[in-house]
Amino acid sequence: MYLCSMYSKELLKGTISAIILKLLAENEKMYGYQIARKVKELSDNKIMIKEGSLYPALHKLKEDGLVTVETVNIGKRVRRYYSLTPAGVIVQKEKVTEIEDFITTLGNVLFKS
Amino acid sequence: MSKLTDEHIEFIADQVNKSKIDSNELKEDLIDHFCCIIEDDIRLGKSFEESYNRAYQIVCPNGFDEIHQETILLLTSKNIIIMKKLLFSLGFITTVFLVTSFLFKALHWPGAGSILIVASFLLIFVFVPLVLLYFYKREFSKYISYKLKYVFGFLGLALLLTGSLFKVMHWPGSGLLFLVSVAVINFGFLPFLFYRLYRKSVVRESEEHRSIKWEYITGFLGAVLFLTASIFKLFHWPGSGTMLVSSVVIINFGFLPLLFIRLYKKSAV
Repeated sequence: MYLCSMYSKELLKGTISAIILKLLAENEKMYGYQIARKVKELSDNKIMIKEGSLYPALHKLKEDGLVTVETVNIGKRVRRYYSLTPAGVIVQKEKVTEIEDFITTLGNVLFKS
Repeated sequence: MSKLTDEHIEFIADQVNKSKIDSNELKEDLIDHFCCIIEDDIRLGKSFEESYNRAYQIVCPNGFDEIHQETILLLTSKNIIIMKKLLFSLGFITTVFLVTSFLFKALHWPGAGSILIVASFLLIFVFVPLVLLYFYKREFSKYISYKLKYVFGFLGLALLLTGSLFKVMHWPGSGLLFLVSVAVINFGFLPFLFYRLYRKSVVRESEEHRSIKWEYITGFLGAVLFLTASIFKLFHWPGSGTMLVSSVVIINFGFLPLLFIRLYKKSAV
């Protein structure tokens, strides 16, 4: 429903926070639209994070103290830049390692005979 | 540099502000997101109106409230887990008190009444409100009828349980409490409950949902008649038998077959 992609929803479930944290680790600070665009670009349009999933996830990460927000006024609107907190840097590494390990294990189970 | 005019941004902000979203942070995020999508479209030569409509379809095809709900659900997930634990603990304690009071009562041991009063107090003023609050928090609706469903539901159930306590303790006024509780449930809780279920079912138009509508209508009629018949029986008023038979016929030949057919179909998928 929220993660729109060529992959099934079940496969991508649970990866959105890892994707966001990883992008923020590689780019000092990003705003929501920029994150959505970047994911689309990096995945060759195969993963498109819907806004209905992106912002709730970002706000949850902020609530958990993993990201921090800096606001910049652009004319009459406010742009909210998200960046990792020190705790976010640690969790990001953990999450990415966990997914890497999971992919390896999955490969062993599914493709090694 | 923004290519949107202040009027355009104000228009977008107005649309977002009209929604149920109460978090200013989420509003700011969405307004900026809309502006970005629209600016990209305008660069490609589209008009503001066309771009706004497209952005709306991309961002929130089911309305802004969906994002609001998803955010609240994620942010309150810890609270929901805590509340669940609290509910199970309270449910356990209340049940222990209730069962113990029945045992004391049956064996004519002293203190049965006091234990029952404590159990009823826990049930009526702690457990039932918490259960309803839990369900209320889990759903999100702007409709008044939805909120009233919970208010009447609590009042009806609290009065019914208090009436039961009065009856068991042989205190005066239990009949009146039953009467008022059934009136609240029949004319307050059940209409709002079934109205909301009915509205939900008519929004969807498939054959399956048409039968759900009838399931709710027969369920509502059956429940109202059954409760009214019980009260008539309690007060020895005439007509309780006819009402009881009618309610059982409606429940047995209307509500239950429809309910079980739907559940069977659901499990067979």
